[in-house]
Amino acid sequence: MAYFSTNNTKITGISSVVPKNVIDNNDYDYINEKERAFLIKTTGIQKKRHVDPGVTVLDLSAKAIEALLEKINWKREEVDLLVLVTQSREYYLPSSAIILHDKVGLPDACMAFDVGLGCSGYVYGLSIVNQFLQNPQFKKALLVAGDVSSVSINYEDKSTYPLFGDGTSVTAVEYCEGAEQMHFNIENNGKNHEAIIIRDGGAKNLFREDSIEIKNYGEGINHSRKDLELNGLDVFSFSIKEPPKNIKALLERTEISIDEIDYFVFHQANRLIIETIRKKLKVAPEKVPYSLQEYGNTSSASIPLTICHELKNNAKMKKMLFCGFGVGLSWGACVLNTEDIICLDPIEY
Amino acid sequence: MEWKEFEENVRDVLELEDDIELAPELQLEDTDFWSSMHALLIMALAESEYDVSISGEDLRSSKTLGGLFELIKQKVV
Repeated sequence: MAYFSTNNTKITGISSVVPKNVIDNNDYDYINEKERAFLIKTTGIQKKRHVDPGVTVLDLSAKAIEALLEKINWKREEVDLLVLVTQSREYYLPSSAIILHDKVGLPDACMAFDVGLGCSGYVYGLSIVNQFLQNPQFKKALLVAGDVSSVSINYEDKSTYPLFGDGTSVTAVEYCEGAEQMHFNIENNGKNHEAIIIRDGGAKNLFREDSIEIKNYGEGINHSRKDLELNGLDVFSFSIKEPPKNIKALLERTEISIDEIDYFVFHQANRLIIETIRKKLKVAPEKVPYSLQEYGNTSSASIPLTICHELKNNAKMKKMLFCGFGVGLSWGACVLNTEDIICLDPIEY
Repeated sequence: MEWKEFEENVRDVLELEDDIELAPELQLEDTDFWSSMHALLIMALAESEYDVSISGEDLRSSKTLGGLFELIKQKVV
């Protein structure tokens, strides 16, 4: 199992950006009123944000980087690493991180690359930047995590459309002598990779004329092969089974008790999943912040967005556990102590 | 694990009125109240109440409420 700990790093600040355009699930008229009310109650997702046509994750992310760098007083030439976790890449190639790197004016000597992960991606991304910061040549890193999922969801697919919103985040992580360790437990399993998938547009199934042909896959589930497809039962089953096991194992390994942790920030998949995990772990409700009621499932942005939305004034000097899970299938958790972290209010684009 | 307790838990999580009869032979797909979202609620119930994991395949192959009861009962340690 991929347990590991990293030394001498701290999260300096977090920013998040969401589009201005609010989509209210109460207006989702593809399903009837009764089903709509039940869906909103069960998932907890009332609203979400969608970008205007043509706006991409890089547009949102550039704004998030600029706001954060200014707030934490980092100069661009000090940034050694930019990691972009996204599944909404600008192009098939080149790597979107390199375009973002240019867009915000980072120096050539700052490493930049993409990580193609979704809902687990924030925890994975944190582990990656932390690993680089174990090397004394690296001092400051930016982790960008987010997606524009609205371009991949079909209005006539009730298993995806009401759930996903757009958003992005930037987390500044830096070398800090003597900072407490961060502990990770990272897992994945590709056997079920078709449980959440966009089938066409990659090298295996190139985009073709029939990629946009919409087909029916069950009652209320219509989408094309270029749209996001989600097997609700399999994903739900995975989401309530594996993350609690992962968290328990991590806490056992690190000898940290549930009670010692101030906040459990879960990926904002849906309320039923998070509540089931919370009950399994016997965590008090007040330790589990939510942002999905406002923003829906924002993929890899959901953990930092929840911190910015809900814990902005209460994030300093806390022991927190983050847990992401989803597409891959891929999941992971990390435990860390915050210091004088700066969290900006969610910014609108 | 007893049927009566399971039935009460199901009624509770699915928020069903008392006049809806929940018998073991009830064919879930034939009822007015059953939907894919209800299936998720049953999965969540099994996980949080009985510490039992039900796969999507398990759920798809259990056509009746009694079938679900037996499935969970078998898995309860």
